[in-house]
Amino acid sequence: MDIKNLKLTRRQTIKAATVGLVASTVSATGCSSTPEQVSGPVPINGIMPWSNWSGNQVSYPAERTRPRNIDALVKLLRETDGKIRAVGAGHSFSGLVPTNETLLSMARFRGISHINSETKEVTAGAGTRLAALGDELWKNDLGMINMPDINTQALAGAIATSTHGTGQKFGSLSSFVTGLTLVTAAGEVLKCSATENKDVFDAARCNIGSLGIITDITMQMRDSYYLKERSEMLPIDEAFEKMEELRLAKRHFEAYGLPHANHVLLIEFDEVTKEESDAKQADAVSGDAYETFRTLADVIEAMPFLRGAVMSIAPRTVGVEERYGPWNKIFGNVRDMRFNEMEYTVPAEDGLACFREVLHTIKEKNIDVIFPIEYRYIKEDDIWLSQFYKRPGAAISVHNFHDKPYMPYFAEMEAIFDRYQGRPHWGKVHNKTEKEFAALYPQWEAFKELRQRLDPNRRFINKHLETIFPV
Amino acid sequence: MSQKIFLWALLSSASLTSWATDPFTIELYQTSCNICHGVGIGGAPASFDIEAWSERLAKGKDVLLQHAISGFNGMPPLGMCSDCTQEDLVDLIDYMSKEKSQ
Repeated sequence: MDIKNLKLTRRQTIKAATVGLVASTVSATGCSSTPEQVSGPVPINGIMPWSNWSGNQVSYPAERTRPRNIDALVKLLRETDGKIRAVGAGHSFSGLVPTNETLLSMARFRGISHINSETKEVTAGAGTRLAALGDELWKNDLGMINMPDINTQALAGAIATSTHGTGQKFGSLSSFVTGLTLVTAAGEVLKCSATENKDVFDAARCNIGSLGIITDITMQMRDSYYLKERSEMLPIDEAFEKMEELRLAKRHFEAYGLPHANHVLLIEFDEVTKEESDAKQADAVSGDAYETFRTLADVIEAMPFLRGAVMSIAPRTVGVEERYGPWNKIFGNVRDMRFNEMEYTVPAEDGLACFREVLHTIKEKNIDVIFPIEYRYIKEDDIWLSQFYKRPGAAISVHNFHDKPYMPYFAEMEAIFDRYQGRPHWGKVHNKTEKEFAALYPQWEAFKELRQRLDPNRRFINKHLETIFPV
Repeated sequence: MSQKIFLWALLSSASLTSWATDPFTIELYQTSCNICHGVGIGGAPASFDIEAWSERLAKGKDVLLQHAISGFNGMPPLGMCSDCTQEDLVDLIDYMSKEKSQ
C-alpha cells in the first residue's frame, strides 16, 4: 500500500481545512510559480558526484565500473586491490554506498536467468529491479510471496538490507532466498545455499554489502495471485483496538499514524480470485495524497499555529477505499515524493506500545512533522544480521520530506526505539555503532569473523561501515 | 567535465538519426526514466516529445546534463539512475529528446 493512493485529495483536504489563509498560501506555492532550481551536488574537478535518491548521501567516486558478466567481475577483483562499493537503485538512506574510490554498478546483471517450474524457485541477476522482477514473474504465472511497497530497489540491495513488506506470516525478501552466488574480494566465486557454504549463506542473505559482490539470487516464489486492498481511517483508540485482530486475521496488515492527529489509517490485504479482482478492479489511482501532505507541510511551515487544526480536520475527509489487482500492482508503488526515513524493528509483542509512544511523543514534544508513521509486521528468520533474527518484529518507520530537517526528529524517535531493543533497518538512517549491534545480534561475532575471512583487506568497508565494523 | 561535454556535443552532432540506439540505453531508460518521462509527470518533459524537449535543449545540452547529474525541480540527482555514468546520462537525454527510434 502506498499512502499516495489514499482518497485524501488536495481539494478535499484544503476544503476541509477551510481556512482562507491556508487556501491563499497554497495557491501561492503552486507548481507554475515554483522557481527552477538545481537540487543536488555538482561535479568537482571533473568528477561526477554520486547521490542517493533522497539526496542525503553524496560522494565523488574516482572510478565507476560496470562489469559485463561474472568473468569480468572476477577479473576486476583479482587485478585491483582498492576499495569498492556496489550500488543498486540508490534507495538507501544510510551511508552504505558512498565511496570516493570505485563505485560498481551491477546493471549488466539483470533479468531472470532460470525458472524451476517444479519447485517455483527463480534465479535473477543482482541488479534486477523489483518492479521488473514482478512484471517478469507475472508473465510466467508466478508471484513473490511478499513484496515491499516501494519496488524500485535492485534485488541485491533489497536482500543486503533485509528489505520487507508486511504480514505476520511472511519474512523479509531475504528469507525467501534459497541460493546465491557471491564473488569475494579476492575474486573467488562462492555458490551458497542451505547445503553449500551454509555459513556464508546465513550471513550473505543480509550482508550490507560487506562480504563481497552478489551476482545472482535464487528465491522461492509461488503461483501468481490477486489481492484486495482495503484502507480505512479510524479514530486512534478505535484503530489500536482493531490492530491486533487485523494482524492475525489478514494476509497482510499495516497502519499509518498521522502525527498531531487523532486518527490512524488501517490497511489490510487479502488474496482474492481472478474473477473477483477483474469484476472490481478500480480505475487508475489518483496519487495525490503525498502531494497533499507536502502542501500541508508547506502551509504548516508558513503558519505553524495552524498545524493542529489542519491535521485534525484533514483525516476526517478520508473514506474507505478498496483496490483489486495482480499482486505486483497492489504491492508495488513508485514514490515520486522524496523523503528521508528511519526504521526500527521492535519485538512484535511490543509493537503497538512503541507505536503509541511514538505518536504520543511527537504530540507531547511538539515535533514539527506531519509525515505519516508507517507500522508493519514481519515474521522471524534465521539470518545472522536480519532485523528479524529469531524475533518476530513490528517495524516502525518515521519520515520527513527530503528538504526538511530530519535528524532532531529521528533522534527523538531513536531514543524510543532503543527502549524497546529496536534493531535499525540497515538501509535507513540510524546512529548505531558496533558496540550496540553486538548487543542486538547474537551472531555478531560469527558474522565479523566470516567477513574478515572473505575480505581480509577490508576492500568493501567504506566510512559508514567503519563505524559498524571498526576491526 | 568541460572536455567531456565538448566530446558529447561533438559525438551528438556527428550522430545520424538512422543509427540504432544502444539496447542498453533503452534498458536504462525503461528502468529509470520511463517512470516520470514516459508520460511527463511532475513537470518532466515527455520522452520523444520534440517540442517539449526543444525548449530544454535551447538552454544547452551541458545544462541538461548538469540537471540530470545534480537533480532539478522534482527530478532527483542522477534522475532515478543511481548507477548511471555521465555517458549514460548523455545517451539517455539524446534518446528521450529525439523521435522514438525503437
